[in-house]
Amino acid sequence: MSGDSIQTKRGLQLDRVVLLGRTFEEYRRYFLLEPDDLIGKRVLDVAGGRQFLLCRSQQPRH
Amino acid sequence: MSRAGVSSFCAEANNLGINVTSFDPIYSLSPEKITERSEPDLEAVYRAIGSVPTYRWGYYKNPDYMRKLRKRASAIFLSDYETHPERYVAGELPRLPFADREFDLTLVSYFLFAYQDRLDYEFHRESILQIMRVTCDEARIYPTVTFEAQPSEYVPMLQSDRALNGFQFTEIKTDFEFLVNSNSYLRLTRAQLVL
Repeated sequence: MSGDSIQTKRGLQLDRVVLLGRTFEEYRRYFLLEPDDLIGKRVLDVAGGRQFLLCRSQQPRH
Repeated sequence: MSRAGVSSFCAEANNLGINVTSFDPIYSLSPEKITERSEPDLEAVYRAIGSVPTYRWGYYKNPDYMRKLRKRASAIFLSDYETHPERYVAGELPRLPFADREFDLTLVSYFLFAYQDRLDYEFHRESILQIMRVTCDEARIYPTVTFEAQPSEYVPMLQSDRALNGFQFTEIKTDFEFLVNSNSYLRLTRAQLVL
C-alpha cells in the first residue's frame, strides 16, 4: 500500500490509518484542554493501528 | 487522519509537567522505520487535501503551512521517541496493556468514528470498554464525524448499547473545525449511580 492510493471523492479517501504528526496546540483545540489543569495528571494518548486494519480489511464485511 | 503516531503532543505535554503516555502499534518500530512510513503519508495527504471540499483552512491557512506544522510535530516526536522511549507503548486497540484506572484522562484523536468505514461497530464498542477500563476519570474521542464530514452513526448506537450503560456520553462543542463538522468531541464518563 503506498500513499498513491489516497484519492478524493466526497472527502479524503484513506484506505488505511495514515501517520501524521500533530502538535500540542492542535490537541488543545480538539479536546478543549486546559494545560494548567493537567499538570501532574496521567494522560493516555491512544490509537489503534495500521497492522490491525490491514488484517481486518481482508476479512469479509458483514 | 492521524493518531498518537508521530504527534508531538506527548513530548510537549511532558515538558509542561503533564504525565502523558502514547500508545500506537508503530512504537514497536525503530525511529528510522517510522520516518520511512510517515513521510510518504504526509506527502500523499499534502497532495490530495487541497482539492477536497470537506476542509476549512482557517487555522492551517493552506496545505503548505499544514505540511510545515506536521513536519515540525514529527521532528519533535522523533527526538522524544529516542530520548524517552518509556513514554511510548506499542500495541493495538481494542487491547490496552495498562492497569485498571491507570489514567486520569484518555484522548483518542482521528481514529474511532473517523475510520468507521474500516472499523466495525464491535471494534468501537470493545475499544470503548477497554479505554474506560484503564481510565479513572474521563475519556475524550475526537472527532465524532467520518472523513466525509458526516456524523458517525456509531455515536447514537454506542449511547444506547446495553454493554455500555455504565457510561455517560456527552457531545461537547468546540470552536475548532478543520475537517468540516469536526467541531466537537465525545466525552465519556462513568454514569453516576443513584442509590
